[in-house]
Amino acid sequence: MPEIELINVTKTFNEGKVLAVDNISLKIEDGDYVFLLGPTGCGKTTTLRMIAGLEMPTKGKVLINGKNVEAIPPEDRDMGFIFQHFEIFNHLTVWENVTFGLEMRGFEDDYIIQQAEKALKTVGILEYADEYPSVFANPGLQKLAIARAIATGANTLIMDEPLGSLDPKVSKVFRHELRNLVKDLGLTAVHVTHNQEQAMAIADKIIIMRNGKILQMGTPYALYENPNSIFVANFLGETNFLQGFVLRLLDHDLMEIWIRLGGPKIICKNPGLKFNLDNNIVIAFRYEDVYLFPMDYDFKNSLYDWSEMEFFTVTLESSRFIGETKRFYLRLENGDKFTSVKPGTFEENFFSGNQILVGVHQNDIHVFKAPSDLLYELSLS
Amino acid sequence: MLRKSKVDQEAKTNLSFALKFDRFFSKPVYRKSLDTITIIFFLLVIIGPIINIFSTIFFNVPSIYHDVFADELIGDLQWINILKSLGVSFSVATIAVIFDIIIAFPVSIILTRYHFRGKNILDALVDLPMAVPTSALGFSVLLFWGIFGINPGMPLIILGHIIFTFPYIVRNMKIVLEKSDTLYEDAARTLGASGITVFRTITLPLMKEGVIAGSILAFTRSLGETGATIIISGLVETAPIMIVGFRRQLQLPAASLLAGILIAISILLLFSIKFFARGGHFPIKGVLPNFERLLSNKYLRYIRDGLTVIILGVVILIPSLFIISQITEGNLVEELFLGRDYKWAYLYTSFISSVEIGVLAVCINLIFGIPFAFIITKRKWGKFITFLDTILDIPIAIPSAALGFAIFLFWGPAGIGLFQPGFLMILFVHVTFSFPYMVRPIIGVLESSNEGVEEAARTLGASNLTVFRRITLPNIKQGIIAGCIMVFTRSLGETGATIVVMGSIRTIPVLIVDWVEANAYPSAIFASTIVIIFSAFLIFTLRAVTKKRGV
Amino acid sequence: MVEIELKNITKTYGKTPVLKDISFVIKDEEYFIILGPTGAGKTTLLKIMAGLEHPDSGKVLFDGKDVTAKSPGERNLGFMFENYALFPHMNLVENVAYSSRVHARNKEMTNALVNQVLMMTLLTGRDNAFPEELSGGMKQRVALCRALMNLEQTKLLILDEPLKALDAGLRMNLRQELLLMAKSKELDLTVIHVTNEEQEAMMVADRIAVMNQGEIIQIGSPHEIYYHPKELFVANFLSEINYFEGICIKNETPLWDIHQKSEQKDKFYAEIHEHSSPLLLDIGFNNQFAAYVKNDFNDQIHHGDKILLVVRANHMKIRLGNRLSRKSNSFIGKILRRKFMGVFYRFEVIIRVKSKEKKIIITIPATTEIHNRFLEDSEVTVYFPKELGIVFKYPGEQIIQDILKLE
Repeated sequence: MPEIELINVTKTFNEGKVLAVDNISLKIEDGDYVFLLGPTGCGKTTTLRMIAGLEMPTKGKVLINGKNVEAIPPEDRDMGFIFQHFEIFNHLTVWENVTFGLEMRGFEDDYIIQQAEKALKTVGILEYADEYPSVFANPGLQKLAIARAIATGANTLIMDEPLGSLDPKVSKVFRHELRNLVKDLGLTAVHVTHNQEQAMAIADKIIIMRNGKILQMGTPYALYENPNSIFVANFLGETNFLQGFVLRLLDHDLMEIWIRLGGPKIICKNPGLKFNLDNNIVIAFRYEDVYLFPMDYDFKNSLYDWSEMEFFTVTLESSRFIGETKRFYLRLENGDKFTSVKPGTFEENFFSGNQILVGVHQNDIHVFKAPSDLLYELSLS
Repeated sequence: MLRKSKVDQEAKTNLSFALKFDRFFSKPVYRKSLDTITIIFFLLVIIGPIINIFSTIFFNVPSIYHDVFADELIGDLQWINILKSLGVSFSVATIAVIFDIIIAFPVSIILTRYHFRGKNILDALVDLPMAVPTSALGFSVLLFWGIFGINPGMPLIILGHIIFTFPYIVRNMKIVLEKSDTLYEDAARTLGASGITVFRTITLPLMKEGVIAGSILAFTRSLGETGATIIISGLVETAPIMIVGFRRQLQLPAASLLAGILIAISILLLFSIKFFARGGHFPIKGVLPNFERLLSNKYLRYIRDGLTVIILGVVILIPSLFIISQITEGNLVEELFLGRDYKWAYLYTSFISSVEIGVLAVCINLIFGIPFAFIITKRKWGKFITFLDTILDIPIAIPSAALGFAIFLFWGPAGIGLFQPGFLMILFVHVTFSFPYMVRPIIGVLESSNEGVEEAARTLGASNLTVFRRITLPNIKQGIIAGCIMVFTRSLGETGATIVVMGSIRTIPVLIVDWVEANAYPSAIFASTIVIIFSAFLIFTLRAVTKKRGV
Repeated sequence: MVEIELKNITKTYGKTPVLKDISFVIKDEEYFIILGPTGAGKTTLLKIMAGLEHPDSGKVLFDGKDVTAKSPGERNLGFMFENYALFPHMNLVENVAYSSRVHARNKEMTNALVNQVLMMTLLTGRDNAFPEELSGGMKQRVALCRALMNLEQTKLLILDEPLKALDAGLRMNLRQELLLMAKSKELDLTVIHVTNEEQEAMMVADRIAVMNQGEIIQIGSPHEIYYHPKELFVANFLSEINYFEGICIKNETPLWDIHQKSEQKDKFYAEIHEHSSPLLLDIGFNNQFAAYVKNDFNDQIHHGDKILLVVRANHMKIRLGNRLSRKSNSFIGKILRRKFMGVFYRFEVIIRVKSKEKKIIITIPATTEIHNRFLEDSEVTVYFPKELGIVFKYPGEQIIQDILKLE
């Protein structure tokens, strides 16, 4: 049975003038680490707050374990909360911060001590119990916020940009500890962020939102490999987009696309014959799915099956070493530009200004109907 | 992977008494009752008397008309005198405020943008006139300028009012300057602007609201200034002094009329702050870069700063504190202890009275001030809150004599008849006057406090009252202490209204006025000195307490 | 054309030293990044370069001329603040044109220049908007335009965390725009850009100065500081790392010929390790480990010295099953956790060192094969090319704790 469910939930503010969440439905399974991901203003925080009970839906229902929780305030929903700016009680000691929630629920002293110790030990700050939070820098405050949230034994963690106050470097390491903690304790987690890399790094499932609506939800793998819209394809990971139209329909559910302004002709999959002749389309493929070959590469003597690979010629404008990866900035004959990403240790024998051969696998090419405003679809807001 | 065990059913739950109490009284019905009581208190005690003045005027038009405009003997002489006194008050206020603004600019910049040792002391000194009893200040001013041959009269009044209104303007400027720190000014400097240009194009526009609000508050303060003016006015009559005169001569209709006029003007001015703060542009868009760079020269700046400090010292600081140096003049001991009229006894009893009233005023204002501050910052009642916020300042803006008279009319023999002139009425007056001084610091600290922490506490199961007790209160502690100290000092210094309602009791400020009028200078000096030192001590405590929280 | 030199810059606030004897040179037309965690002193350094603050000691030189005493206006540079500092009481155009107004420049020329600059950053059509009405991305562009308008003689642009306040996605885009603009021939800019995000630094910098606690730890190109970090701090800051404590045993007869180049193509690894020599290490396993160390470093690591071996998560390689061979840097272990991250798969692998368990982090480009076959609990062999091992003299337990643990 799903743990948290939203059914046709809408939320408006200012007597209906502001539509923050527009008729969304979602299910969060028990034990899942779920991300609400999207640009600023997409409604993800409002959705989180409705799950938490800090806001009430204007329309629709919020169910927890099958029960409508409209009448149940946040503190009775068996949830622990972590806020973007931690909201630590600075005038209380670390210990008092953690025991606060337990005390509010009226537990016995022995039990309170036991739970608080366990929470502090789990995040690793038990030795600071008698200090005030001012001794901590942001990572320590983060841990305290987590300890306070899990001390009451809540089964769900509600988090609004919990890593937002950390330096990028620290955040990249800490997020894994956060995920491990959630998994070790068997909690359900709902985590809001605008940072897609963070979501991809630690989510079990991702719910992508924009303008108050849910665009797509699923595992990171599913969303990454099969984005259902240009926005999702662009928002998650790094993606190249080229415009063109359908030149020919071919057998085996394939079609030939002609990239605009005299670009290359590429064969793509056309499952279910979704596209027809002359349709204006946009193709999308990830930076890392662009393979690079010198012009004189010997394909015949290699071991791989190149039959489903599409090749075209490009000019290498420049390349750049980024550490973990190398980027290659490429330009088609028609002037369109795109990028290839390879591991940092990629051996390159290419020179800027020269022509090279680029290959993209048919399975890695996503085709979308051309939108009326491509720039809007590609904007990340 | 471990699965956390579900524990709630096993652990017993038993809320402590305090939490149960909190939970019970957090129910909406109790909050609503508290809100209602607080607002009733506010309206009755603060607004009631004012409305009463207007209604008294309204209902007594015939007698007012008779006394003021159509007296058998003197015709409308009273009315002409009233107009004259209003003219005097307005001109004094205008001149004082203009002078203050000019000095306040460099002073507020020095206090916010510069860093030097002793800045804190200078900062405190600038605030001093606000805390010290006006009569003591007035007396000090009288003595100081007397040395230069400036006797009671118009010039002395102006010099005095410059001092009294100065802190209001500086404070408001400082608040605005501190809010934006140097960010925009830095940006302007990187874009090539030099000192004067930065000030003109960036700092000044940003301070606009603070300047306007401060000026209007200062203007009304000057309009209403009574206690010190009595001492330094000589034969000239400002409007508040005229009210005191009418009261002493029991010419109540005339007193009511003038009080009503003054109150109406002050209220209008207060409301205008909210409207005018937004508008208004500073002229001169163009920049003369070389000329202004010349003006911004380091040495010119030193000269300007030096001049400012000198003027600040000579016109404002030294006259305020001069009196302390006079304590050795005259036969203090003889007069105080050996005189036949037991001056020492009087000093002692008035000190006790002042302290008693002060403490009681603090308590009452605490009880009603905290909920009121919460209403203003937390309740979402739209326009009503704006209304409450604006009229909250009325007790500051209204001439103390006028308000004292209004309270006298409302609660005294001529009105409800609940109180006779005396201790309780004085207490009433003090509560009314100092109410904003309790509420404003609390509002300030509530507004900058973090609502997120309160929400976090609620998600952890705390009821509203628990949140207030355990989370909000510790965090606004400083604001509350600041409020208490300010109320106490304000009460200690309150002169004008007390004179109107006092009956036979003497608070210290009133005692000072008495002694000055009776030419018992050494005693008056002594009393003033004690009060000034005591107030200074309180101010420094206030600053020490509020400094702990900030940078 | 402007070259900036800092000589012995020191700054203390009260009792806290914020900048400790900083000296370096920024070359003409460089895109120079100052990278470091919050609190490293980066903003203070920028302010001293701009003239908004004065150093306690030391000099700032533009093209050889001492400008330490000069006011910000006299240094004629463009400065972009972290939260943009757009004048709230002026509209968009007034903000952008401010420097021209302050210098009393010709009105017509100013208008033309303003329009040009606004067009370049796609900000046309909102001339009368006030800052509070603009989105984050737009505010950033306005701040940039305003700074650019100030560049007359000195072609220096200073950016203080210019992208920090923006959403992650927008940040990526604007990064590129900044770089393109800086490198454009018309503008010929030298750019000093401060950030706390390492990816940002690596993406746009010609050279990076890594800063921590008031000191410059290392300056170099992205390639240099990535493959040859001078200290553990730098190594750790640029990616997730694995570290092993061990001892240098370089004088022992190797079990295998360590002069034999790795199986990969020569050029890449040879490039990385010009002027380096291999070192043999004992990090607690039965088989030997080897890594390279720069020759000027080499003299300082002797036989028997305690060392710290660092291997980046993305330099580790992984194969299914037990392929342990005595002659390469390899260990066997079990996959504890795996996570698909898009471009990469991230693995946490448990290996045994001297009967203690250790966790290794590995990031590998995601392929279908990995997705289908490298599952949790699988036995795997982890190894790394010796050219990609980084060796430091053992810095002590405390430093390792400070850098790698989070408090």
